[in-house]
Amino acid sequence: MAITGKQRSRRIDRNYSSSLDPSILWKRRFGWAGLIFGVVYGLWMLSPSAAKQLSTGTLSKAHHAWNETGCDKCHAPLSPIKTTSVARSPHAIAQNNQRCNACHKMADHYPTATKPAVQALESCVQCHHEHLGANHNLLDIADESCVRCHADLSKFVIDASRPLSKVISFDSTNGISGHPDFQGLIHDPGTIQFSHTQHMRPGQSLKTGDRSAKTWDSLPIGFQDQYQKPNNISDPIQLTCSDCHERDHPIAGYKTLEGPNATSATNSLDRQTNAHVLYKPVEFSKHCEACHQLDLPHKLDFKDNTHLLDVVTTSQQQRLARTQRVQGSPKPTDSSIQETNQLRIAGTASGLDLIKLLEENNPLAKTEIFKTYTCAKCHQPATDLDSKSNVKSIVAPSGIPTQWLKKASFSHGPHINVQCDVCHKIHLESTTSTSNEPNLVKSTDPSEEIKTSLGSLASEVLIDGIQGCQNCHIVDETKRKDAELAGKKNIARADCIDCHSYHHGAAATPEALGGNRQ
Amino acid sequence: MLLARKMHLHYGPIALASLLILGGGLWQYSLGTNEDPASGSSPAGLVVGSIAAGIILFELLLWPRKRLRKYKLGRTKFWVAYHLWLGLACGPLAFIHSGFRFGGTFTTFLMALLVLVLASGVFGWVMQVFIPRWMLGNLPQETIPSQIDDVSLLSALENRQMLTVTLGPKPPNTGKLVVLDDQLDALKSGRSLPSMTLDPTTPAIQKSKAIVVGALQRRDPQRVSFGQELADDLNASDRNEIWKQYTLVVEPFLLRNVISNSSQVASRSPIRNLQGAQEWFKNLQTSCSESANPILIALQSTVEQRLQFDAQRMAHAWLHRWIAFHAGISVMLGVLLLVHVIQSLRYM
Repeated sequence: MAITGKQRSRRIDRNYSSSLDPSILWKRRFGWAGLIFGVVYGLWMLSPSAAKQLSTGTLSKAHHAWNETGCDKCHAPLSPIKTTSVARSPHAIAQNNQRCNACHKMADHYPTATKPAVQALESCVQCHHEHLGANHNLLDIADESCVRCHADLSKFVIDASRPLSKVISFDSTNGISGHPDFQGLIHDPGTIQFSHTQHMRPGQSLKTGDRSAKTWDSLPIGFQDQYQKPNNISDPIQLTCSDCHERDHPIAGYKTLEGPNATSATNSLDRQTNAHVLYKPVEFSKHCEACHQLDLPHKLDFKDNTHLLDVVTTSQQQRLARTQRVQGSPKPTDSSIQETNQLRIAGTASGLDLIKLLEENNPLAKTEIFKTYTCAKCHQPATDLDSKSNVKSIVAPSGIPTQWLKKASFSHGPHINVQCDVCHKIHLESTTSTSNEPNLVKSTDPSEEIKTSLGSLASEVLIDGIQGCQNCHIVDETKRKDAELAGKKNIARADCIDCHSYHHGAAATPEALGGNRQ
Repeated sequence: MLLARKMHLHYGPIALASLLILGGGLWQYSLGTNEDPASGSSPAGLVVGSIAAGIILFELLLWPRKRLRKYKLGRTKFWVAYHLWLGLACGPLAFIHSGFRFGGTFTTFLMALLVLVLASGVFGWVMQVFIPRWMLGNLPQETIPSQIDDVSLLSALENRQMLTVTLGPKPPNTGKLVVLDDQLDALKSGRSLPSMTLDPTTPAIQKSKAIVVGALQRRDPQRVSFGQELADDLNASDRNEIWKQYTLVVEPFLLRNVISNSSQVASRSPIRNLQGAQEWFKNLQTSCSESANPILIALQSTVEQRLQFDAQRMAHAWLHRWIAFHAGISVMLGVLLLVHVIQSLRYM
């Protein structure tokens, strides 16, 4: 027989609620434990020794020393450092940037061209992201950091009326134009008249198979070891790129790639180097003099007139002696001095007495030297050759840029496994000319060939344009993988930071950095 | 049961939670870039984080609100509904606030703590929905959990009285009954057995003087139906057997947790589960004459009641013990949240 609720209730102590339920007891105990632990942990969190607990990630190697307790080295108190922070202000940004600049004295980004208000909102952490692990490269800047402005520069520059390129990617994608052509390659700013085409032909002949070809045994003995000895020493000399172009950074194992028959590496990425490699300027004494001997020392100038006079006098005497030896003339006598002087004067380009001009310190002396001593074969005269203001230089500066890309920094290091002629194309069948005239010069003389081929003119820049780069540097990851699967070698990314740097100006020089740049 | 009924109470908090998550998530996502995703200090991050922090504080208010019931601070069902749904929204909101990242050690710990709070809360939610429903269907003799041992003791005393009335005094050689004078005194003085067991030195609590004291008035009315006729029909063998089995098996099982060493005996008892108890009483009925059946049925009833109490005690534990963990880590979360706010303002 079941009992009723009332009957059941009669069996219960009516004051049962006064007794403490274990659940309530444990709830209180856990509550107090949570409160105590929270307060203790919280107080410790407010102390400097717990700074690492707040860190959102391990610092990069460059800042690793501050990984434990160095928050204040980079974070200004109560100044939001994140670019997306709600309380971000020019003052807060400046506060945090100052912490970076304490060690890294970097220049701003085109400060004269950018609006000051925009500059004030540029923070270091906008591009350099920390707390991403010890192996994170702080200099690995994403394209987004550049594109946020360069997609439409008109909002950020002071002079928005000038032509501004809109760049969102290195290559054109989905109908959006990519990076513009390299401005530095449009025109050769150099003054040297030189034909790579001629010099890369066997024997540096004017035409293929020319009998004037230079042979190895015709070289002065002192220069012979400098060039590769052919099987037959009377065969024409074949120059290679490295005969004249030397790397400024020694990298073992890549020399063969600069040779004439070099084969590119099968697994190129394994042989990549990030060293910043450029090529040293060509030196006349090392790279030219074997074939081009001069009567006067190369790089002669007017710094020391006495020395110049001695050198020119000696040179003229030697030339005269050579002429007389060739003509079989007897030794000069007193009666023939007058005749000798006449011959000497006749040997100058303009028929002027060069020695006399030098003794008189006449500005025409420079012009006379330039014309007489075959400077014009390669050089152009200094623009102010006849001016008294320029008393030193005879020839115009070569003007060959170390960096051809004006706003980018190219390095041969990562490209060292690519053969030279992939980017520097020379058409050996082209007609040689050392004219510094513009391209496409047509002559009415039928015997003279049209001088149009790439590399045949000194004014041609033997560097492929952006299309050449885009063969290997592909932005889209899918296309990159497709290219690799298709067997294409040397496929690489195309990040802005690969070529461009953000910081310009004097503040970014090593001296200004004080050796602290890491 | 409160949580499963009247779902219309939950529509408001569900809509509010969904709106916060969706709106906050979209806003935060729109501010970030792949390279620099928005974080807690972004406008959206700060707003969403503030809302999440507000929700956590609101959740913690459930505790003081319980203490301040006399002020009638809203109806409990609304508090609970908002506690549940806004609390659930707190997890996604915190994740949106952080820019979908865990950050450093401290914030990761904070997030883990929040996940634990949410998990324990959801666990408790599920328990609170299903266990009461199961208890209603399966534990008809359910009593107040803290009174389980009291009621069991009363049952034992009533059984003794019933057996004495119906079978006569306990014969010798039928085992020895446990002396329950102390427990009886405790009940008479108004103390519950658990409190007596926990702290015997504690003086008796002065409860209502109107309490009904003694087994006689608490006894089950069904027991009075046994009369002298039944006693006359039983032979000596039945009396001995019933007294013996009651002394050795039934009473130790009824008094588990009431007297010392009874738990071990009860754990090996043949009547420790319903099936075993039914089998055991069936065998006892077989070994006794048919006249003893009413007494055995009454004893079986008390055993089954005790079995339901045990199940109730287990259900009660599942129903309430999670709260201790949930409350403890919630308080910790609340404290550390304040530290997080202070430190974020310094280094955001």
